[in-house]
Order: sequence, then C-alpha cells, then structure tokens
Amino acid sequence: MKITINDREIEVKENITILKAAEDNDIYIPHICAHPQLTPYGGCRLCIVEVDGLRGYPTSCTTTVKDGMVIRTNTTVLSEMRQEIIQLMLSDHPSGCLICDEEEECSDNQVTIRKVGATTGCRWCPNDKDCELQKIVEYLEVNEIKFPVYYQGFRVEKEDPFFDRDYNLCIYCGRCVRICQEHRKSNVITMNQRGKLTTISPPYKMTHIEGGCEFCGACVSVCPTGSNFEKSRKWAGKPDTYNDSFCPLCDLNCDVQVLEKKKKIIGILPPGDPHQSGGDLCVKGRFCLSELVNYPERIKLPEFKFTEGYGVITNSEAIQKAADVLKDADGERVAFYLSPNLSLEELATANYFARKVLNSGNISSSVLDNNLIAMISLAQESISIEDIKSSDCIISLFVNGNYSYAPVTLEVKRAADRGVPYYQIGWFEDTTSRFSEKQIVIPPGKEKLFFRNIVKFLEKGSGASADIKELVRLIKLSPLPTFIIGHHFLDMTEGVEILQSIKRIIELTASRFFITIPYGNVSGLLSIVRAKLNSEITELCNKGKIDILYLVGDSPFQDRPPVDFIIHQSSFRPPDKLQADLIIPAAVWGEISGTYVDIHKRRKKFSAVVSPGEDILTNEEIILKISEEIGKKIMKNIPEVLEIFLPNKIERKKIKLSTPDTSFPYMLIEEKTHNFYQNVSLNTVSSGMRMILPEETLIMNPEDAYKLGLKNNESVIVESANERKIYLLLIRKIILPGFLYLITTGEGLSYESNPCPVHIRRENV
Amino acid sequence: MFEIIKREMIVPNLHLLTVRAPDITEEIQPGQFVIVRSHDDAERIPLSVSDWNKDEESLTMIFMEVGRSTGRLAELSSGDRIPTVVGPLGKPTKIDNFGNVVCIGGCYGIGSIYPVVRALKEKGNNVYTIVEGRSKYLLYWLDKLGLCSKRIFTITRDGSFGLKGHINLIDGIFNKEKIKPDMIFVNGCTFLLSKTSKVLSKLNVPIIVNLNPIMIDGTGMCGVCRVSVNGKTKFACVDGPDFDGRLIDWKELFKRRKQYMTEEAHLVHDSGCGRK
Repeated sequence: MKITINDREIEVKENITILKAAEDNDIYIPHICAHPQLTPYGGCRLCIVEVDGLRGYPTSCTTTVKDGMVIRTNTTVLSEMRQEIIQLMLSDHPSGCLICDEEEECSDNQVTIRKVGATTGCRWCPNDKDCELQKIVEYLEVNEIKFPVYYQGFRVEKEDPFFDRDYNLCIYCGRCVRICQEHRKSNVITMNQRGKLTTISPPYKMTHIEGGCEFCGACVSVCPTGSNFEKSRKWAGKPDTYNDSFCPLCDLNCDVQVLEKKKKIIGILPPGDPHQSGGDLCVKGRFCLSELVNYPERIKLPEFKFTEGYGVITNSEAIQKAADVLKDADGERVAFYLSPNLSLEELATANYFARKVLNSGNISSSVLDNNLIAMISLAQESISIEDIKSSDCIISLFVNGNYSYAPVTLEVKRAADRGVPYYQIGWFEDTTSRFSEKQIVIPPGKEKLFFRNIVKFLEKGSGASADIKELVRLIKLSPLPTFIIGHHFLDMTEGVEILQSIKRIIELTASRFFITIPYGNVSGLLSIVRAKLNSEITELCNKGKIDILYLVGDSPFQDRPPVDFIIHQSSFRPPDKLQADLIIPAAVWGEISGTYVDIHKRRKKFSAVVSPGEDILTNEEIILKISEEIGKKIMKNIPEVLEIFLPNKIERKKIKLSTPDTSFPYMLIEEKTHNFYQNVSLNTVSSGMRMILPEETLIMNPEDAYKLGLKNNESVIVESANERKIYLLLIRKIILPGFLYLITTGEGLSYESNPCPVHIRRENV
Repeated sequence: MFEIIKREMIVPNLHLLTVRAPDITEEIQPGQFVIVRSHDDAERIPLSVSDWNKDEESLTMIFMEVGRSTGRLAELSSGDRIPTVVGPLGKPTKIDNFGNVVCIGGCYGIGSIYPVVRALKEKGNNVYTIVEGRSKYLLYWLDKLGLCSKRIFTITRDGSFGLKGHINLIDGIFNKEKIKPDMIFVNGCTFLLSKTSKVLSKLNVPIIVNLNPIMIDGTGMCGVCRVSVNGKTKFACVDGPDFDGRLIDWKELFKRRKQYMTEEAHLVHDSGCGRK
C-alpha cells in the first residue's frame, strides 16, 4: 500500500496506524499517550496530523492508513496547535526544568537539596534529563507558558513500597493504567475521580498492596514524567549506560538491563526501550536486585575471629589464614557448601579446589534435599515458557505467583484471557486467580490422597470426587493440556510422594508441564558438582566428622555445628550464632562475569557491569589465591556437554499428616524462604520486600481474621499438637480462608509437618 | 517536650511549624535560629526562625522537606510533641536605622527574612523586599511582608507572578525604581545567597547573608559549620549565621555542604517506607 507523508511517497503495511507508518519511515510525530505495547488511546492529542479528505485534525495514533492517503505532519498550523496543547499540559505540571536558564550554575547547589518530598522543578524531578515532556518541549520550541500556572497540590503518596507517586506531575496519558490492564493483566490501578481531581491509584482508597499489585514496575517504566518513580533510584538521575544482563534470582533467569551511573548500579529495567518496555519482570528482578548489590551493610573487608572478638584483616592475610588451615587438613574432614547462585565458573573452580586440591568429596548446598531432587528430576522434561502459549487448558498446582515467576503467570493470564480454561489447585490466591474458571481447594491434609485418587481414577476409573472427575474430563478433552507446578512441593512434607503421583498423571494423560524452580543456577550446580545431600553433610558435621567447613555464598547452619574452623566466603554477613572464624567478602552478580545454566541446559552468560570495589575479590580469585598459597594449581574444567547429576535420595522417617479438627482448625502452610541470593534473604536487603512478603510473620485471610476478631500486627500464638510459637499477624488475601501462611528463615520446619493443623489465638488473652 | 501548635505544608515542600516555646520567645531576636529534633532517635536540625509571639508563647519556623529528618518532621501534626527545641542560637542580625534597606528572600528564606523586615521597619528604615521563587505557587507570606515593606517585588522563573527570571534581575529593579540601598539582607538557599553576593558586590554596600551550613550542636563545639570568611575560619553557629556575603569562600561552602551526600541519599533511597 502506498501513502504520502509530507510529500514523500512511501510503501507501508496494511492495518497500521499513521503514527506507526511514520515511525517506520523515520518521520517523527510528537506523541505521549501512544505506546507500542498498548492499544491506541488518542488521549494526549499531540500526534494530530492533516489528512486530505478527512475533516479536522485526526490523531495519527488512532487513524489507520488507507491506500493513497496524503498526510502532512509538520505544518505551521499543526505546530501551533501542538504548542498550545503542550502549554496546557505544562500549566499544571511543574515546569521549572523547561524554562529556567540558571540551571548550569545552580547545579552545584542542587545536589544537596534535591531529595525533596514533592517535585517542583528541574533537578528535583527524578525524571530530569530523561523525560519525554522535556524532549517534546524542546522539539516544539516552547519556552514560555501563556496560560495561568496551577499547582494541583496532591499529597505525594509514599506509603507503598518500591515506588512513590507524585500526581502533581501527572499529565493523564493513562499509560500506567493501560499497561497494568492490557500488558500485565493486573487491573490494579485506575483513574479515580474526574477533572482536576483525577489521580491514579487502586480504587476505593486501597493501598497498592491491598489492591493486589505485583510491584512489577511496568507503570513506573512507562511513565513519561516523574510522577511514578522508584524509591531506590529517585534523584539518581539519568543512567550513564544500559547493560544487558539477566536476573540470577530464580531459574527463569529473565533478561534485564542494568542501569549504571558513575560506576554504580542504580537500577534494573526490563529489556527494550527504557521508557517503552512494560516488561515481564517480577518485583524481585525489577526492584530488589539493585538493592541487593547496593546493600549498605555488605561486608567490605575480611574479618577474623580473634580470641577477643572479630577484627578486620587484609585480603592477603585472610588468604594466608585460610591456606594455613586448609594446607594440612584431611580432605575427608573438610566440607564445602556452594550456593546455587554461583556461576558455572565459580562452581568449577570451587569444585576443583575441593576435589583435587583438598581431596574432599564432601560438597553440598543448603538447598539440596529429597524434594529438590524429585523436582529437578521431573523438571528435565519441563516445557519452556513460550510453549505455555499453545496450551489449550492450564492447571496450576500450588503456584504462588504474586511476587515471583511473572513470565509464567503472565502467560497463564494471557492464555486465560484468550479463553483457555484455567484451573487453579492450591491454597494461594494470586494474580492468576481472577482468571481461573475454578479454584479447587483440596481438603486440608488430604493432598497426597487427592493426587493418588486422580491416578486411581485414570488407571481404574473409580473412586473419584466430583472435582477430580471434572478435572480429568477437562484434561482428556484438551489436545494440549499443561500443568504449571509451583515450588511449594519443595517445602511440603509429602512433596516427593505427591510429585510421583503428578508424574504419573502427566504420563497417563500425555500432558505437558512447566516447573518453577526458585534457585538461579541450581542446574549448573548439579551439572558441575557431584554433590551430596545437605542432610548427609550436616549429619557428618554433627557427628564430629568434619573439622573445617568452607561456605561459599551458602549458609546451611543458623547455629555453630561442632567443627573447628568455619570459612564464610560471601559479601553478606553470616548468622551471628554461626561464629564463623574467617569471613572473606566476595563480589556478587553485577560485579562479575559468568555463566548460568537453566533446567534445559541452556547456557546464559552475563558480564560485569561495575567493579566490586578495590578490596573485594571475586570468589574465583579468592580460591585461586588460597590454592596458590597451598602450592597447587587449579585447572578449572567446564564440560562442553552438561549432564545433571542427582545425588541419591536418603530415606527419611515418614511423618504422618493430620487433618484439621475442632482443636486445631486451621492448616498452617510453611515455606522456607526461596527469596534469597547466596546467603542473604531479599527481606534483609530490601525493606520493600519486607513490606510485601515478610518472613517469620503469620499471614491470614481477612475472612478468618474477622471471624476471630484479630487485627494486623497483633501478636498471636500458633499452637500445633507439638509446637507453640508466637508470631506477628499480617492480614492479606494471598492465602485462602482456613489456611495460614508462614515464610520461615530457619534451617528446617518450625512445626512437625507441613502443612500442619494448628490453633491460633491472640497473645495474653 | 515541646507541643506543636501547628504544622502545615504552606507551599509544595515548605512546611510551617509552630511550637510552644515560652523561654525562647522571651529571648529571641531577628536572625537567630533554633535546633529541633523530631523524635527521640532523630538528628538535630538547625532551623531559622520565621516568626514568634510572646503572648501566645509561639515560635514559628518554615522548613523545607529535603531528606529523612525533615521528612519525619513534616509528618507531625498539631498536638504532637517534639523532644528538642534549643535556642535562641547564633548572633542576632544587627538592626539599626540604615536608611534604604533591601531584603531578599527565597524558599524558606521568604519566611525567615520576615523578622528582619519587621525589625527594620520598626527602626524607621525604607524596606524594599524582593521575594523570588520558581513559580507563583511557591511564594507565600506576601501580605505579611507587604505590611512591613515600602515596596515588595516578586520574581518568578516562569513569570507567573511579577517579573520573569531570577535574582540577577535585581540590578534592573534598582535602576528602574531608583533604589540606592545602604544595606542588603538575604535569606534563602546557598545558591541564592552566593548569587546575590556576586551580582550586587559592585554596589559596595554590606550584603548580610544568613548562612545555613551543615551543623550539629549549634554551640561551637563540633565545628562542622565552619566557613571561611575573609580568609579566616568562622563557625556559622556562634560567629554567625550572619556574614558579609562578599567575603565568603562560596566554593568551599558548596563543597562542604555535599560531604554527606552518600549517607543522606542512602536513607531516602529505601524501597520501603522509611519506617523500620
């Protein structure tokens, strides 16, 4: 199809807008509300054009091209009209940055006073120099505002984590509302009120947390002004560089771009144009990752436990001390713990050091247990995220997708939105629940039986409940059914057995499945290291068969086990009670280059964005230097073909699960936190994460809290048949009525089983 | 504990804080300041005093929300109590009958110049007040200042009220209105103070600037508020805060103001809500 823009005849595709046609041919039409990931809106009116044969000045973002169309985009009339439109916008948008000529001189002063509450101009604005309004004002050559200036006087909203909202800067382009609805399918925010009172927030004065916000940051990314802005890089200014990398926080290893300024990582964005990409990230990658690297309490210098307490030593002293201890050690009596967040290179170096230099076979990771082994062995048959798209029925099993696995939940939501039937099984209410045709709540304590019954029904056609019959019918009717398996099986007492049943169901129904694994490079760990189970090494430690414990970014113990010497090699402080003898800080993600492997053995490389600081060595450097000091060379070897090696399962004593009854009416769901990087929990490094998903806090559904007359932040006693513990209460909809949700940080389970029937009451009553 | 009579945001970011402090209102004179703490675990913040009333025992400060501590102060409301209001601190501004006096205020200084303007008027001076801000909505107290001034001029960056531009228009005002100042007083941000001193130094009249460096104890012990005046080290808390702007080493002062940037930014660069 041929059209003419500004006397230039161009060939364009059919069914595209004039704006798109112009952009494809490098013709600039100013616009704000139009966005490549969103449907046309026609709100800002800046993209008006003249089209022969069309009355008035149509907006190019909503008008589709027609064969032979003659379009003009930059006439004097259009330019004058656009100037007037932008001046109207600026009349209630603080515009000090646009028309002040004192800027350069004043900049020396501003750095100290820019951390203001409300933005009223230039450097005080978090979006200064990176603002779409500034660019358009420059293009339209506007240098005064002829309309009366009006300040809207909205209170800056700061009570939600991760981003602040200053609606005094808002120009009502609606991009945030639309990206939340159309791209993220979250429908959390909307335009409230009308006219000059309009603000954007969840309805009915709910906070973002109450409104079900995932804190994905899409609304912040697409905001053309500074009105939505992330707290942790407010006032940091325009980044110097944008670097491609990926997130190390879970097995999905999502692509990200790392924003660097003055050799510091200031933020993380999804890939693509920084202002245009809503992205598929979750809160951890979008917001927590930069806080992790910049955590102010990271250890900067090595420490040694002298008799009188910890003292700071130099790196060479630390390496000398480590070498002295390890030099004559009996390899059999040295144990290594490696974090699943280490890169292949780091793992290979540590593995060679352990096996060949020290002759030790005691290598493990705190995450390695029977449940993980069962999950990983199943996961190797898992489909990829893209394959979820082609499913024609989706069943999620114990997925809690509120604050993690966003690419997966997004595919589920998008599929369900297209009409694919979606069934949710479990006890969580998450961002996908709204899209589910049915939420099946398994009778508490009967989870294993439920899945066994499905197998039985599939094999023999008998003994099934109505729910199971409906589910099986759905699966059998669909040519490509897909199961999404949550990471909760890692924590459940009967996780291994249930996974066996699920495996059987998948075989019997020829279904596909996707497994979510919360550890960044656990496949890499298992393909480089012939690791033993965590419990095997802890037992050795507790029996006094280990003298030296070498922890590389891992923290399997809260209390000190009976060993002679503990080397803790990580930037993040070990638990106080561990009483590590030698602490050596090491560079983290963003400061090193390396490779990760996902469950399908695909390798992904990331490069260092910043340097770790002059005194911090990388894990590889530290181990190489210790080895050199011992007098041995390291020949790290990463095999061309990676093969996942699974340690043998250890038979455990069977724990019998009880069902809730009148004395213990609630079912407590425990989850050992999976939101960590190396040995630090994201709750520690990010105060925002503490607000949305606090650890060691009891989460309860509002319905149950109302029935029991309990309020937020009250101390409650949670009692099972054998245990009695006190927690703070948090009332949230993320868990269904009848269940309680507890994220723990300890070594093992807090209660005798998971799930566990409990009784709950207010303390001191 | 000191009771807060009133706390409100009068223009974006600038908060008015009135506390009951009878001992201070008995003693205080124009140009002096107080040190305030918002909570028991909060840091000390020096604040210029903008007004007081002996009969009501009320002391009014206008402060800008620029970080963690002022942010916490801005969250308080009337009826709350704060642990510390120490003062009056610093030397009072020298007030006499000078003849023609120009008083310049910007930002929080629009408020803190008011006691100076009032006192000068009482001594029989012709006071010309110049108030500047980024836009109309950032100016306040024009009625109060107008009552004590012979003339009042406003300068806004966007021209939404009065003259369009910034403080270097001041020369033009003097020429047009035929004002020959005998004395100049300036209150406001360090940039305004330094810029005015630069622009007006050719007039050869004293330019008294009310400094606001980083300060801790306010009694001359810590020395954080040091400033070089005419080559000599002075402490703004006990030797000032009034100095002749023509003699100050501004470059050094700007540098000193930035020394805790990282720490200041860290406190506000927190993804939670600052309350642990």
